Amino acid sequence: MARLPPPDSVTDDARRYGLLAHAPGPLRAFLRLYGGLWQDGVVDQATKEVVRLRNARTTGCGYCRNVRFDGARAAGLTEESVALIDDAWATSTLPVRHKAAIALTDVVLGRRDAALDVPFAPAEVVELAVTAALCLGFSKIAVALGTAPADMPVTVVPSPAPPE
Amino acid sequence: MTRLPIDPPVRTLADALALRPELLAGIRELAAALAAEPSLSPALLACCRARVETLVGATSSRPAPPPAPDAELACEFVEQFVLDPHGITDDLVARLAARHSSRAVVTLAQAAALWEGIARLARAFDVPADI
Repeated sequence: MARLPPPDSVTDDARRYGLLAHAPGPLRAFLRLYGGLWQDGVVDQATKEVVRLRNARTTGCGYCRNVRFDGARAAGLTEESVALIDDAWATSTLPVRHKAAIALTDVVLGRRDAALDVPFAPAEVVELAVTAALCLGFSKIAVALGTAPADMPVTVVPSPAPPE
Repeated sequence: MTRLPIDPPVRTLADALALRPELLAGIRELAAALAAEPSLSPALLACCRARVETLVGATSSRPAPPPAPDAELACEFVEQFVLDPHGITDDLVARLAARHSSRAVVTLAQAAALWEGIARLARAFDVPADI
């Protein structure tokens, strides 16, 4: 349950983003950054979704853990693959690229000291690391402010896009 | 040890993020938007940011901020945010909300999220958290 009252004004942002609309300037800046990350990146959405879900399971955000971005689904990330993003990922049948994305995420989250030796270009490494860092923050905000449900059904939503 | 190696090596986090300039610009825009929020004092935010960097083990070129007399409770929230957000209680948020507006509490959470992200990126690339 949310730990703060909702914003007084009923704006589109308040309806869609709840408590975050209390501070509209930072919210819009975040949405531009996060939307651009997903829509204009140099890494495919399926690999970034692996990063996002690895963080979600580590942070324990019930919302982030159960949401799926449709762009990642379209790029081939199946629910069977998602189930392999667990503690046994290293010996799973996940593609090497996705295993490397998990290892990189764990480095950013402080769970691991070194990434796997994988063929990510430097710009891809940066994009994946920023994905992990932003997802970490977003999921922690949801937990801290009490806006994340403890659990919910798996739900496919549109991949984030910059606001118009 | 370089945890996420980049070739050629970089000296600051800004150097690393410049490999994806749109992301660097977006992070800077978000940092500026948070700094421009009128609901929390710059001194309080600086103290909380320093606490985040200490907890994560990141360094930066910013000088240590002077103590802010009203920062203790906000720093307690930020510290728990970094260590384990599940440990943030209704009581802690209620005490924070009794002293600050909802806008300020949300801003503090957003700022903690950004600072922790920046600090963790800096640790991962083994560079100062300067953007």
